[in-house]
Amino acid sequence: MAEKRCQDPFPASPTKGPDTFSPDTFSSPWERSTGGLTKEEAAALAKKEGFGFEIGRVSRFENARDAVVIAKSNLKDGLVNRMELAEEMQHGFDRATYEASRATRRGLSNEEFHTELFERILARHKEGGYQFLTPEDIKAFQDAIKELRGR
Amino acid sequence: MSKIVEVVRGTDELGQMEEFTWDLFPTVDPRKTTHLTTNGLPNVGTRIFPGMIIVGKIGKTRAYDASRQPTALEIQGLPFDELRSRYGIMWKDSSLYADSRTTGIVKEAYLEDEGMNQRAVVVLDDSAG
Repeated sequence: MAEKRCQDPFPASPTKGPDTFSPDTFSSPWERSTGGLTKEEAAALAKKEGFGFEIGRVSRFENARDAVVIAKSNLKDGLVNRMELAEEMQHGFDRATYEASRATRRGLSNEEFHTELFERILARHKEGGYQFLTPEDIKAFQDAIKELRGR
Repeated sequence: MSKIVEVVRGTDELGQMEEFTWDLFPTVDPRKTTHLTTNGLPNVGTRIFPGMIIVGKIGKTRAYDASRQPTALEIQGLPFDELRSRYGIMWKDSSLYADSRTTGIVKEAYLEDEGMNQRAVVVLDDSAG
C-alpha cells in the first residue's frame, strides 16, 4: 500500500517563497488568524508558563532549551502568530503525558495528531488558559478541527 | 590573553546565504547549542572547550526538498537521531567548532556587517586557563 503523505496543518518551516509547501495544507496560521504578538509579549506569555522563548529556524517545543521556538520565517512583520504560539506551548504541556510519542505509537496521522492537539488547546482555554487567544483564534481552531476530521 | 575568532557567512550548496543561528535542527543535537544565541553567537561568559561550537551556522544542501520536511508529529515525537537520519541530509552544519587553540571564556561576541554579508566575531579570554 502506498504510504500516505501527511500534511502538516501548520508547517514548522517557511510557508512562502522558495520553501513553499504543498498548497493543500493550511499553509500558514496567518491565513486563519490575523494580528499577532510582539516577541517580547510572546516571551512573557511563555515565561508565565515556565517556558523559554526563542526564535529559530523550525517552530517546535524544544526540550533542550525548555522553550517554545518560533521559526523566523513564520513571523509576520516581526509578530508571532497567536495560534502558533498556543500550539507550540501545548507541545510543551504535552510532554508530561508524552502525547507525541504516544501518538506515534498509536499510529496516528499528522492530521489526527493535530485534531487532538487543537482539542487540548481548546480544553485548556476553556479552563482559563491561553487567554491571549481571541474569539477569532478560537473559531479558527474549531474550524481547523472540523476540516482535519473531514480529511 | 585574548584571541579573536572570526567567521564569515558563506553560500550553501544551493547558492543561498548560510544562516548564523543556534538552531541547527536537524543536523546537530540541540543540547549542544544551548550556549548559543539567536544569531548563533556564544553567550558572554561561556567557557569554550575543544569540540564545542563557537559560532553556529547552517545551510541547505543539494538534497534540500521543500516538500519533504518533517511534520510536527515527527518533530515532537521522534528521537533526534531518527530525525537526523531522515532529514539531516538536506542541511549542512557549517558551524565553527573549537579545537585546542580556540578555547577560553567568551568576552565578547557580535555580528559585523561586511557589505552585503555578515561576519561573526568572538573574543575569547584564555588567561583563566
